[in-house]
Amino acid sequence: MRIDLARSTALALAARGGDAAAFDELVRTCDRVVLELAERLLLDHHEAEDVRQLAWLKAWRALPRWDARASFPTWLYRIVVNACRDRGRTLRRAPPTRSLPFALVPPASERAAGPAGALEHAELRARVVAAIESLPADEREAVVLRHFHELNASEIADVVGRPRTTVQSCLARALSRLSFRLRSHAEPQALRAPVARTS
Amino acid sequence: MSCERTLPLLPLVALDSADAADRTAVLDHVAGCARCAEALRELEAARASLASFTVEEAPATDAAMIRAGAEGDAPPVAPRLAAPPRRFSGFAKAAAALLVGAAALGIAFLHGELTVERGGATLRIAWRAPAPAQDGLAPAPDAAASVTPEYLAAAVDELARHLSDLETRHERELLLLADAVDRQQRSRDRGVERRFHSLEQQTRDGFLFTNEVLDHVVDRLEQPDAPASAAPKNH
Repeated sequence: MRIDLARSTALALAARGGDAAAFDELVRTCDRVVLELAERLLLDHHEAEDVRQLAWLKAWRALPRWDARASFPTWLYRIVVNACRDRGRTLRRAPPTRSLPFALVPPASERAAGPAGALEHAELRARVVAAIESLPADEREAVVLRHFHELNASEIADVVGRPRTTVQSCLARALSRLSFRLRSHAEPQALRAPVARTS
Repeated sequence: MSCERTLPLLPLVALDSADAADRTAVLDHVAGCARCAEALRELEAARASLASFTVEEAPATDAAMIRAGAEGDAPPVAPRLAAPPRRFSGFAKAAAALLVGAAALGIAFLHGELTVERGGATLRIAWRAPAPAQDGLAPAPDAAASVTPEYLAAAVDELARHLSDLETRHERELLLLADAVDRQQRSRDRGVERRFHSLEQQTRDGFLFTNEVLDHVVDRLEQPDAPASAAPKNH
C-alpha cells in the first residue's frame, strides 16, 4: 500500500500553511498506512496504535519544517520508522507486555472464512510474524517497506538513512532469512491430523 | 552468469529490487539452471507468504485531537506570573549585599567581575573603569574615574532585574514541564484504558473462536464419513 504522492503532497502543503482541515484529510488519507507500517515493524497492534498517534503528533509539529522539495511520503515514513525505533528501544528495556496469547486469533475479517480457513490463515500469519520478528531491525525495516509499502531501494534508503547499496544488501539477506525460517518451521498439524477414534 | 554469482542476487530479483542488468542476467541463468530456478521459486513463495501478515482494523486517528494535543490543553506559553515567588530572593540579596559591601569598604576597583552560580544558572557581571552611566550601564571605555555610588546602584538594579527575569523564566518552564507531564500521564491513562478494553474484547473473541473450532472438531467426530473439504459450520 503506497501513499499517494500527489494528493498527500498537496494536502501537506496546505496543512503546512496552517490549513487544519487539510491536515485532518491528510490523516484520514495516510492513517491506515501509518498503522500498518508501525504494526509490521513493532509486531504489536497496541504498540502500533500508540506509535501511530505519536507519529502524527510529531508530523503535525514538524510540518512547518518540512521541505516541500522532499517527498512527503518519504518524510512521513521516516517519522514513523524513527518513532518505531524509539518505541523499540523502550520495549527492550521494559518487561514484555505483548499480547502473544492472542496472536493466533485472526482478525474478524479473516474469521469470516470459517474456523478451518481462519485457523489456517492464523497459523501462516503466526509463522510469518515469527519469521519477521527474527530479523534484525534494519532488515525488517527494509523488507517491510519494500514488500508492504512498495518502496524501491532508493526510497527505502531515504527513509532509513542508509546508502542504497546497504539497503539492497539488507533486502537480500532479509528475504533469504525469511525463506529459510518459513521452510524450517514445520507446519502445525494438530488440527489436520486424522482424529484417532476410540470407538 | 554462474550459480555463485546468481544465488546472492536471487532475493533481489524475487523482491523486484535488482538492477535491470542483474535481473536480466539472473533470469537468463535461471532459465537454464534447475537449482537456481528452484531457489528463486522458494524465495518468491516466501515473499508471497508475507501477504498473510494482515493488520487488524483500528479506530481511525482523531486528527483534531492530535492538533489539540500538539498545542496542549493549556496556552502554548504559560502566562507570565504577575508576582512570581521569590525563589532566588536570598540569592539576589546576597549578590547585592556583596556589591554594596565592596563599595562601602572603599575598594577602588577599576576592573572587576562577579560570578555567582546557583544550580544550573550562572550570573556574571563585569565592569571596568567606570563612568557615570550615560546610557544604561555601558561605561565610557576611557573613563578613569572610580566606581560611583550611582553606577553601583544601577548595577545592583540590573542584577535584580536579571534575577527577576531568571525567576520568571524558571517558573514558566516549570509550568510548561508540569503541563507536559500531566498530558503525558493522561495519555498513558487513556492508553491503559484502551488496552484494557481491547484485552477484554480479544479474550471474548478468543473464547468465541475457540468454541467455533471445537464445534467444528465435534462435527467432524460426529460425522466421520463427511468429506474432508466439507464446509465447516460458520456461526
